[in-house]
Amino acid sequence: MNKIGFCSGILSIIISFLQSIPLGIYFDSGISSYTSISLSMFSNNNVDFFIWGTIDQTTLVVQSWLEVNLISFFMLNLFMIITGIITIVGSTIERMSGKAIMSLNSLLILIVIIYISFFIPLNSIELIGITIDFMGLFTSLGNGYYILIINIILALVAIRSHPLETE
Amino acid sequence: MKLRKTGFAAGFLSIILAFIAGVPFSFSNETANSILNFSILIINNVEYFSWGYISNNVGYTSLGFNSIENLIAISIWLLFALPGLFGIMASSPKSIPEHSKKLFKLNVLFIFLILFIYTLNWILIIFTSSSSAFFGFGYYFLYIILVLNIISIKILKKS
Repeated sequence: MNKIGFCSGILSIIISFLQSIPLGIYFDSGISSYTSISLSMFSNNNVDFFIWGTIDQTTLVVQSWLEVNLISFFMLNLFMIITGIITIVGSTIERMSGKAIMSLNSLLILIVIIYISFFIPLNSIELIGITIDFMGLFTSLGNGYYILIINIILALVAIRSHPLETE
Repeated sequence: MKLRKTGFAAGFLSIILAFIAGVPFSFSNETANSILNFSILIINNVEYFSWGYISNNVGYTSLGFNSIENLIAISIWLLFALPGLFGIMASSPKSIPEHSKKLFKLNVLFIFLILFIYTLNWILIIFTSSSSAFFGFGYYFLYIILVLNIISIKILKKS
């Protein structure tokens, strides 16, 4: 099993679905947490942008990319979910097909990073409905973006370290 | 090859320290009588954990700050979280013993570093200020994790 690939898949699934990672978990009539780390990609004008959608921090309105913009939904949400699932499956296949899945994983993550870093600032009004330039984006990057960077590093290492079964 | 139980236990305990504030125990009538608190240091009734601190029942963390303000907080938190991840990875049945040994050694190094940081903190607070400082249960938990990691290395050396 490719453990690094598996970790990469888990990271992809986490940023595809979660708003934050709970910290200081305690069990008081259910599971609660004292604090959490936000997984937003970047924020602008009090709106946090995630892989799965947006949260307006002033009105607390939550919208998925499916409601906001279909291209962003495909490029961010769908790509990351597919990446997460195929990587977890691919990490257990100790053949060349598994290695190919690991390569596909890093390619998809790279596409998502390029989409956030270049396509969103260039076409921000069309894609996310607000104006944001390169400077605005790179000064408001959130933890989700850095996790994405860690994810692609893990994905690249996973290609090299993918175990192949010897007949 | 079987699962390396001591290594897995060490990893699991590290993950608990990295994420969980307290675990209820001693139940009666569906309510917990006590809470096992994983705080590392308690300074003037403020409980310090791997992820932040709790003051007046409100939790605060600097992990959520924007980069690069959160770099030190993330580094310290990773010193707790990585031994958990490494411990579990190194304990899987199919793992290569040489690689596992390296990971367990890395875990020992990380835990030593954490213990050094917190012990130094405690010494400085005790001798330089009038604040009261105590070690929480999490601090002693770190010693258990350290011992489990050392045992894992010794078992690997024997085999």
